[in-house]
Amino acid sequence: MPEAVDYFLILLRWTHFFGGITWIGLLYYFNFVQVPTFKELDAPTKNILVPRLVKRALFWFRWMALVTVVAGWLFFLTRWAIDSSQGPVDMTRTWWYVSILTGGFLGTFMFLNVWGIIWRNQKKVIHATEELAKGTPAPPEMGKWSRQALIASRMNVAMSFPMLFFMGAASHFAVF
Amino acid sequence: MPWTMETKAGFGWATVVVLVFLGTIWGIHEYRSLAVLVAPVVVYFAFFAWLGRVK
Repeated sequence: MPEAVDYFLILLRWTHFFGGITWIGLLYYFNFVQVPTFKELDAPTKNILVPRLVKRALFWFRWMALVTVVAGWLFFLTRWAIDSSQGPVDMTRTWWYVSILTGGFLGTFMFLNVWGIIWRNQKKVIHATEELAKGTPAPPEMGKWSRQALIASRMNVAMSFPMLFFMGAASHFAVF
Repeated sequence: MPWTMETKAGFGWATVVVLVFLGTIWGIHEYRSLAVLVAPVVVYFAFFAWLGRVK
């Protein structure tokens, strides 16, 4: 029979999966679908889509990133507390800890990119686009904001591959 | 995905970060010290500083 802590752990694991699928799914949508599609659209169409489609997608993107990281670290700390209660844990000699921490730190790095770079720049782009519709000219920094957000986004795509590998390998591909 | 400046920069920095993380994990495993964790933190600030200069 599962104990109370097992229910807590499965809830955290489920939340981590749900948030992670939504977050990384939207990351791939932005990079593989939206960015190339937007390159083919004219300015008036983009001005309609940015405050509606992009704003909504970014809402789920950034908040699911937060949900994923918080649930993931809570899961890790709970599991660590349980393991420690049965004796000292040497994280440097246990594959699960080495692998999950590598994936976890990569994911945290990606999370910092989402809130610190991508969202910080994209909200300025969205605001400028909304002002553009009211007749205010686009600020000269708009290109720079988009470029910085796109670099961090591309970086997250590249980091997501090893991040997912180490997350899965922690329980399913023990190296030592 | 077109091989633009943004893609090259993003993938380049991601490669640096992943290699530093792998080196950090190896360092923790080898030297049993968490002091090497300073390496990815330095890389993050280096990336942040570099990105701030992108026009």
